[in-house]
Amino acid sequence: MRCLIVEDNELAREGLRYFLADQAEIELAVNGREAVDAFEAARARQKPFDLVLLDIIMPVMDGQQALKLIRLAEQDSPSEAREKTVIIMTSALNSPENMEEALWEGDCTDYLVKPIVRADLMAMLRRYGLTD
Amino acid sequence: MAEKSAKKRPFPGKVLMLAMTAALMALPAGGVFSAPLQPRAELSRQTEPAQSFTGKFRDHRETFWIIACALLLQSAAITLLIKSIAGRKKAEWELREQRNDLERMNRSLEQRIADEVTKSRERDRLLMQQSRFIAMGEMIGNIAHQWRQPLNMLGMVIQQMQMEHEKGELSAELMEGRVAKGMELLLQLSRTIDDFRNFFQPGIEARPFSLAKALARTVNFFGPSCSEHGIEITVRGSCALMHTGHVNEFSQALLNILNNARDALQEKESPHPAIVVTLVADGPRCVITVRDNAGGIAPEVIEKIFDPYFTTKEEGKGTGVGLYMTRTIIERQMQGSISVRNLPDGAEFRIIV
Repeated sequence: MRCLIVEDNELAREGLRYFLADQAEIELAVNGREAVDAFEAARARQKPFDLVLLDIIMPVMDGQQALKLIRLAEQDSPSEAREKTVIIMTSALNSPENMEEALWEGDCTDYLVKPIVRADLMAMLRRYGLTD
Repeated sequence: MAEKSAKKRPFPGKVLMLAMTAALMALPAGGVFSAPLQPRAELSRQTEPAQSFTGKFRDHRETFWIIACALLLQSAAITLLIKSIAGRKKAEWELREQRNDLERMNRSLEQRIADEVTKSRERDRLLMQQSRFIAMGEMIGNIAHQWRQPLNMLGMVIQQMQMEHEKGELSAELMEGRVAKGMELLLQLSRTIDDFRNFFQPGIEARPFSLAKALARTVNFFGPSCSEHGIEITVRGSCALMHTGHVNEFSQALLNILNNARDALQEKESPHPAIVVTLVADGPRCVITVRDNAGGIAPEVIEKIFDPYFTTKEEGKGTGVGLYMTRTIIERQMQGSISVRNLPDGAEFRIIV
């Protein structure tokens, strides 16, 4: 599995990497802009990500905007006829507005509220068939 | 005698004078009434021929007229006297009533002023409380975010330690590092509680405080809600002045302005949203400006933004309390001044304390 972890906080980013180190080939991004670039680059290399863990509050470009741009990039090449990438928002924001925006407008796959519990994350990945 | 009396028919003025004298003399004693009755009584007993009656009548004619006039004048005088007394009494009574009314009005006016002052103070106190609650609500939102981030990090540290232990990677050195990080995060969380408590604890007594430090603390407190929305907030300048008062009220006054700036920036969806706070010393006073680039305040409402219950925010979002409270705190509590103006790209609030 190929995974993109998007998180501006270093400790949280490294923690997530450690959580998934055994299951996935991991790339890191520290803001939304970097995430979109990494996503498009991976597609260009024919090695698209299976999973994106996307934080919301980040400098330069926030996760909500990155999410929309990633979904837009996916539509650019329908010929690939791939399933949509699993994108899980990982945010400290648990307000309904943020969740609705991510789920309905941004079309994210799921939403995890911080603090992130590894067991919850693993259960979620199993649900989307990304891990055993 | 009859001729004589006819010849000497009294001049009406003389009759009048006599009548008046008689009336005045008779007034207290009522003697007039006994004199005129006598000839009448005599007349009623008259048995003599008509000639004699006429003579007698003529004899008494002068007296009769005098008495008649006297009676007339007496009654007129009494009427006048009564009227004049009544008039005077009425005027006195009216005057007294007017004076009483005035006193009553004065008393009720004083009472009403006192009542209004009490009411106004009470309203301000309630508004202050209301605005503190609103700010507290917003701050709880901020705290939730300020807390979740370190809580998440703490969670990572703890879970990572467990994984490292399972993998046999947890050396004493690594463990020490993880525990140190965990404790640092715990203390950070604890400080957030203190800040929060201090911020909303109403100041019991006025104390000297550093305006610059209070400003820095407020911006620090407010920062996370800005970064959450991609708003850049910067503080420029310095001011070494101290102010004696309630530091939390000052913080709240600033916070209300900052909150409004953030909401305006969020609403306008500015491409590079920013808030710039400056402070400079100007003699014995400190000048603080808060500037945003949200496009400014509509000219038709700029005069009203400090009025109580005036809000431009959509229903349910604004209460119209914030800036009114800010003005009350700055002007009344801190004897300072506050003004607002539009700049080319946004609004600028200027506080002088």
